[in-house]
Amino acid sequence: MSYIITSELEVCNKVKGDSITEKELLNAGANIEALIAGNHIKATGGTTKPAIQEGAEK
Amino acid sequence: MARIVLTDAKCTINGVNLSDHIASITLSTSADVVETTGFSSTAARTRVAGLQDNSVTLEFHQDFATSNVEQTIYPLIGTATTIVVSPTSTVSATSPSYSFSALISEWQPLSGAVGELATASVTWPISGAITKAVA
Repeated sequence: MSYIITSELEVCNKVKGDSITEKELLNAGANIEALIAGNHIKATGGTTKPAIQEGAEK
Repeated sequence: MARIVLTDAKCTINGVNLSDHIASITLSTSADVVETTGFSSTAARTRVAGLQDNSVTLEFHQDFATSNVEQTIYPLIGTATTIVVSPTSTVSATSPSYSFSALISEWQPLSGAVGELATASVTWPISGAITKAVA
């Protein structure tokens, strides 16, 4: 999961428009939900799709 | 670095750099004093250090703009969050950073009198140890 900085303020040493991964945020001890609620970051929708196993219904 | 006049202190709360909206930072650390005095010929009390008790006091300039002070702090009320403070914005051998987890136990969304700047002065207890780092 990755996020884009939407805040006018520096977030985890990154500035508006930069991307930041969930791992980077967690390593910095950040509360991701609070950052989203505060309009500091926004999910970029880059989630990994679960692989469909062979034989499974699509 | 010699004596220092604070002009460029840095404070990040939940990773957000709010330094330009903070006018005062006080990081306090103390340890309980546990008495160990026993009968002896010295007739003087003896003591050892007990548990540490740490806190941080910050004075904010309130700002309700998008992704600013209010929007940063309000979602954190009642939670423990990571705070990093340093005497200058660049951490070096002579300008350490202190990181810790503080419990956002109080907040003043609105405080001030007519004609005054809206401010919020808070003291948050620190949960656990303070980590000091130098570059």
